[in-house]
Amino acid sequence: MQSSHRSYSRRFPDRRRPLFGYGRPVFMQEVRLTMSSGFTRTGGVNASSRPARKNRIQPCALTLGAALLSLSSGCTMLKDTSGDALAPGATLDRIVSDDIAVILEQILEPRSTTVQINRDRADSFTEKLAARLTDQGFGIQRVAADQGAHYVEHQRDIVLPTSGGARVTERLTIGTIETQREFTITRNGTVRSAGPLRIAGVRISLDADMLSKPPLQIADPTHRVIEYVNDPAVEPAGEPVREPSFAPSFKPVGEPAGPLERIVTPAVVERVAFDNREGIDLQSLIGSQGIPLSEADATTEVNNLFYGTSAFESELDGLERVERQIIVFPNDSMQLGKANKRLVARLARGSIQQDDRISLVGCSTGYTSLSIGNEGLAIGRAQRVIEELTDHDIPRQQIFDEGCWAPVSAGEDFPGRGVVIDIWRHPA
Amino acid sequence: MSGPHRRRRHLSLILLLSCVAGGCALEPVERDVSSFAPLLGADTRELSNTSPEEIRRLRLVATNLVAALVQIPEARPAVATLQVRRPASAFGNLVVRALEDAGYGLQRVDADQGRNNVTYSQRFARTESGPVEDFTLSVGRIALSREYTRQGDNIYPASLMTLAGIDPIDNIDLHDAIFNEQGDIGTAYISGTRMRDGAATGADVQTIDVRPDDPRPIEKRSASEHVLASARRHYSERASMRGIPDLHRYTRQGRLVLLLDNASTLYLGRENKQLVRELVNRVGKADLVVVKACHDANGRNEGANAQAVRVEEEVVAYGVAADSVRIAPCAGASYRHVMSDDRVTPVEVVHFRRG
Repeated sequence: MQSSHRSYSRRFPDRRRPLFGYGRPVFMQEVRLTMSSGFTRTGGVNASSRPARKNRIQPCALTLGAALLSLSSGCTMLKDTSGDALAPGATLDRIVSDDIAVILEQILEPRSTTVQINRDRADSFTEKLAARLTDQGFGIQRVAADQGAHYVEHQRDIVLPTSGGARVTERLTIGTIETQREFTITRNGTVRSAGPLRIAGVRISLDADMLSKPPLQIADPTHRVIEYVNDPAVEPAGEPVREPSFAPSFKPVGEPAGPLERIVTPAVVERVAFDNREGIDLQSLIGSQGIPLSEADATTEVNNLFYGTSAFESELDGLERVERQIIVFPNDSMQLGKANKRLVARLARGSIQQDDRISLVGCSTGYTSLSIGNEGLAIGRAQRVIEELTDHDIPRQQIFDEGCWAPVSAGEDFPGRGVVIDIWRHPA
Repeated sequence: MSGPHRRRRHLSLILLLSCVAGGCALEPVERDVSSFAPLLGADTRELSNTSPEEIRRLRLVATNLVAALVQIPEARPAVATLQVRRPASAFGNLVVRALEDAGYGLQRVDADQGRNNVTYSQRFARTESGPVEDFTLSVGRIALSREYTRQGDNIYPASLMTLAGIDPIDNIDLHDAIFNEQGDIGTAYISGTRMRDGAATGADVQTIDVRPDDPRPIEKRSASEHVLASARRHYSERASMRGIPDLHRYTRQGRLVLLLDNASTLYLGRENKQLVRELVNRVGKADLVVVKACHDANGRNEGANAQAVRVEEEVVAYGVAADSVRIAPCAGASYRHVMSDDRVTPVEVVHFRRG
């Protein structure tokens, strides 16, 4: 089937991309516009894309305009018996909002949960969702930005195949819970499932029987199940290049519970690197306070050992180094690899004791072709090892991380592309 | 008949038919009340049946009461979800909309459920000073009430605002200037707060005169949502002046630097929110979280303050007690480089543990 793949969704800046990883969420207001343009244009576009025949098109356009005028003026004659407007978007709105309400009701206690919805979004889906959640007993907070623990984001991507109808991907995020489902809309406006509901960010098994109710038509029995996903888009086969972006809050049902959240995502690493590169003066932020927070605050976020000495020297005073390991990364990579993972696991389980201090220096020196630069690589590599250590239950506060980055080699002082792990212990 | 004439008749006929089909000529046109009706569960009929002038007056009162409410620590929007019933009066609709505009999370209930159940009333009385209207807004055990009096088409406070159910607060900014914008130069009214039992709150009591430069045309008067935003800011500024406890009694547990897209945005973005969640998971009951944003170069730091407040509210939204989160004041520093508005801006969050 040929498809025009016209996507009408607009894109967020990076900061608000969806955790599923393929595309970015769109403001609901934009989604509404998308819906209206997407669905009203299926006929209109074809008509107007034909060769211009002015005399015939003018009355046609007038008639179409009049019909639209009738619809917008609240004409009840052009509504179906269920009360939905003819646009299948209304049916889709209802299906998606009903399903998410059912899901949320199973995960969160409505009477003690407030959901945040951006106040600038007044499209029909938002209103349906707000009304549905209100009926369920949830509190609704209209917010000016992305405030709150249960902030709602929604994206609707529409593809209009040349064969007619539409294929719609719905993504909805509420706090750490994410859902995604694909639908097809037939030429006569029927909404059918095009896949199962995929969900991330929950750690309980949900009752699938309560979902996928009419008016949704289930195209295949396999679409009735709930698929608990772990973001395949960012975790290709083999070694992950980077952490699944929503691994922090999600484990597939049945798997042992791991740490709920990780501290630093790849995007954050990139931003820290960007920050360093662009010269935001974190030092000034820290040191300009009228009331000093503490002595420890007089350090930069990540100390670059290439140009100075360790910021943690005083912390390690009186301790002796009992072990050093160097983890070497592939060139221009933050991928840890199986061998390094085993090494970290061995350290965590066998070498590191409760009162030990772990000094960790992430390094990247010499030429790099990556846009995040040596800083990004150095910080990212260190964070990658920190994550691995904390996954093995090493408390974060035991780890003192610094970096070493420069466009030239550091000689024998530091590895060009690795992380130096030192274990420090009080003398017996 | 010539072609153009025929086309014009065709057009007229189509438009006429479309109007009939849409019923637009047969039903009375309802006034657009969307700018002041509650976003959810509005009684638009009640609002439509109320004159625009009356709505303007009632909106001033609702804004006045809600602006005071957001400055009460235990009732601030960041920490309280309120329970409301479907409003059945114009004043009720305007109160609910003001609560929404103030940023409260609202839960619909059909009775008086909930710890923060909202009730309100409008009472009329004939007193020795003439007719007055007594408006009350209650949230749980907290109650705010004030008398107002009409003067021509306008309305003015006729008493101090009475507070109940809370400890005395001496620095609520009532934002009474919104009444001055109506006009009536020379009118005087009383401004300030008192406790229901008659005790003073410690706040100044003033007589406000409407001066010649106060009145503004309707389109230039302060919008309700701006007044409410200002009230929230006032609370945050006041909160930041509480100061930070002696940090020598605390040990630093961790520090985040959130990076926001630019100097004016209040959007944290997914990763920053995730970082805050992670931090909050580690915060204990006796811990302290200090937020600091300090990127403005003009010494006023307004943009940075707004971002600090935004982050503080985010931390509170994840369950940290509001008292445990402080905004560190930013001392002006001439050496700090000037940041342009479109550069990534840092907000620092430091977690301390007592002992």
